[in-house]
Amino acid sequence: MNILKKYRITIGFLIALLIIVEIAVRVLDLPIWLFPSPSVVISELFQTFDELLPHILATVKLTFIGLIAGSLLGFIVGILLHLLPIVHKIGYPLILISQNIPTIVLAPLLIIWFGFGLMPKVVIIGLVCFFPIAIALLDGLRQTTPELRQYFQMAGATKWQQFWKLELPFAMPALFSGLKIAATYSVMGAVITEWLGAKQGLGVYMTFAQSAFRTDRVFVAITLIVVLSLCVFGIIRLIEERFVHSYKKEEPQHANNSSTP
Amino acid sequence: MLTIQALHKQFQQQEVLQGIDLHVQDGEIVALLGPSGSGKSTLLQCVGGILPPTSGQIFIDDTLINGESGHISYMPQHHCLLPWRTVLQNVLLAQELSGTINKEEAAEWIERIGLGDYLHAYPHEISGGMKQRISFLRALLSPQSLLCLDEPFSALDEITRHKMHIWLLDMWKKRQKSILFITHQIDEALFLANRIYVLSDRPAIIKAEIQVPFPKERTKELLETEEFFQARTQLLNLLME
Repeated sequence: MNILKKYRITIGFLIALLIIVEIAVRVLDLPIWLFPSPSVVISELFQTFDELLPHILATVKLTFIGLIAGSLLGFIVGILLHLLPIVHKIGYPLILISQNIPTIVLAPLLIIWFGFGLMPKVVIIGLVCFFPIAIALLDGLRQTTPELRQYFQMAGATKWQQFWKLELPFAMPALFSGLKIAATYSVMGAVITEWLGAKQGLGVYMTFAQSAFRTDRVFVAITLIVVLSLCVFGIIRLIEERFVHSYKKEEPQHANNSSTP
Repeated sequence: MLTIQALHKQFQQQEVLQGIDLHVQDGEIVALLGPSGSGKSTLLQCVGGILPPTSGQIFIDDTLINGESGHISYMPQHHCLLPWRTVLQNVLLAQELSGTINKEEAAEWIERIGLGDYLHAYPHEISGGMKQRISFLRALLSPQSLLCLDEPFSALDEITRHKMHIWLLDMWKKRQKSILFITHQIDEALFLANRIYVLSDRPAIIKAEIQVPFPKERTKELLETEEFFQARTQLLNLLME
């Protein structure tokens, strides 16, 4: 109920938008294969839900495996780049290059190398997801307040203590920004890899629907992808709220003029 | 306790410290008084071991500590409490860094300084003066026996600062430690210290060493006495020379 209240303007707007589209499609009398109205899409979704479920589950599974692999990779890469200057010098250009190779080109190559199994799909989603996490974490680690850094050094902290007790906790909010971006990419990544060869999944369903001119089913798939993305994003938000709730940023370190010491 | 002999520090061509000799005895409070930019902080960073001296020696209890950190406990100018740690966890931080944690003792001390209700509060929930007290307590409870304070109360308003001075002396009576603190405020140096070293402008040398003529028990009435006023004028003249 709380969530409904919080997002009531957003939800209201979306519903209004759907109603406008519905009316427009009916007034213009567009055929289903050209542009199905929202009501057709929704009824198709419910009528074929049993058939859809295995596809949804396949995509969910792929998304999570890919996102987790990508997050771990991003986390490790971010830390290594931060801690070892030599890795930063060598690795940074490589990471940028990895983001400039179009997935569409990379995917067939990975299929040639790894076959049609889970492996090439996870690699692609991982490659898409790790970048925002690594970069956000790296920036967060670098932005540690110099005063706090100096305090740690004066108090005799080792490099390792400085990393675990200061830099890493300091970078948590940045890490979660990266995670949220990665989460939204992950569902897209999963669907794209399914296009390129899979037995099940929303990507497969979409390809079939498209080639059969079942535009209504294409829209069903789009709707499900959007909902899935929102769910993954929501999960990351929930984790963030649990772990980062006490990170309320203070104004830059001035003591405030309080007369009650 | 702490002995510094002929300490020089040079950054590129610029000489910041030009032969500093000073010492702090066990259980003594010593002030380093100097104008802003006179190299006080540089000196403290040398003692803390994060800047290696160009030449000269720094000893703690006859051990040479040039360029070695971890031998002092430190209270910075800004409180430097970690926003993701509670008051108690922040106090324990310095102990964690040196490897000996005593949670009960820390909680007891927080209780004793009247912040027992805030044990599990986060820094953004407490006032500036409280943060400074927690920051001091963190340094006081770390195992090192020399406490270095870097203009500890300069960011506070005057009333709070004065209350903090009285509070600090009270703490120091309860847990005797040697304290070396730097300041640019004459009143602060006179009120807190047993001895004062006066630093010159850059490059810094020790202009004078002054034994503070007041008894160890100090109250706020001291600030109104003729002696305090005279000592203050004398120091001001020294600094203006």
